[in-house]
Amino acid sequence: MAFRTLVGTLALIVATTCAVAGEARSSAAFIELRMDGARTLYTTQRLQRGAHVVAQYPDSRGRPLCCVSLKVLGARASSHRVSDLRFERPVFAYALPGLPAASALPFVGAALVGSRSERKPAMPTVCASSEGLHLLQRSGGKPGAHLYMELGYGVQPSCDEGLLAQFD
Amino acid sequence: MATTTAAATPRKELSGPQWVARFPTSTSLDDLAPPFRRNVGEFISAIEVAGGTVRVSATFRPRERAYLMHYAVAVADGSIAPSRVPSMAGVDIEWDHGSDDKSRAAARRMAVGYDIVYPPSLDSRHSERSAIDMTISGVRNKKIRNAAGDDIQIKHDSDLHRVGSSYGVQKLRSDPPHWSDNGL
Repeated sequence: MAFRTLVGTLALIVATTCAVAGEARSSAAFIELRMDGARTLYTTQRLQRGAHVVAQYPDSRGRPLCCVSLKVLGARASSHRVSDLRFERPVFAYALPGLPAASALPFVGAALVGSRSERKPAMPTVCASSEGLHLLQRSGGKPGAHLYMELGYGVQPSCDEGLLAQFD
Repeated sequence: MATTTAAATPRKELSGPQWVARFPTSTSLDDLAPPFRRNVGEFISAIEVAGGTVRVSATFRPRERAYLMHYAVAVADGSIAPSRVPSMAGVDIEWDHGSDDKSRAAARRMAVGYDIVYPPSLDSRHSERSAIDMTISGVRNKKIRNAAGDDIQIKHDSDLHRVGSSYGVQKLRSDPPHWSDNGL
């Protein structure tokens, strides 16, 4: 009985460790959809063509749904200024497969680079401040990644100030 | 704002990408309202005297631009009928092309031209001439003179924010480049 309990405990530790490791391997990113159908990924990771991405997509009202699996097409010159507020790493932009322009809504959501769980991964939070968008990801229960996309125009804020303060 | 009717006045110009270049965002301090204009100028001078660099990306954003951006998206995504878009004084735009498909396609081309990736709002401190977006660099560990004449060592962002505040230039912490007269 004690042996079974020990084996069970060890299995739980191994499973938890693997899950945490899997989470640690995935990196938070923005996915952006323009009204011409162009989709862009913004990440602090250097990616190769064909790199795997799990990303949110918009419903008919622009609300985020989870998730689609996409592959990177190649590097893209960035038109928006995205910065890494927490670790000040450089941010890279990558082209993703586009959508038909007629069905594209303006949308910015969360994505994970290197995620192994495609069904319902724990996605980072995306919210708006007065003139930009924040991507917030916890790691081990603590504030982790914090990317910021400067829009260059005013938007309706949606961020919880308390949550943002935790990532300051 | 009064709403338009379906009947277009002849002097109105149909919506489309040619509108995007009109009512541009300014980067000139001269387009800010006093006393904020003077306050910002003094703050920037203090930074530059200390050896820092300031790059201004936006000061005044006309309300007309916010109106055009907001309704370009709303018409394009179908959340408002083109015939129901409120009119705005000084913006003689006709959103209704006579068919929903044409109206939405023209609005979509505008939204693409504006580089919109998230629905714009109608209000902003920039439209009040009371906000500035600027990137400040090269000030860490330098001393900047505040409005009271004290030299403040900049160790953290909050030190710079306090210096700005002494000049009446308040930081909106949630948006890194954004400063205004009231912190909003």
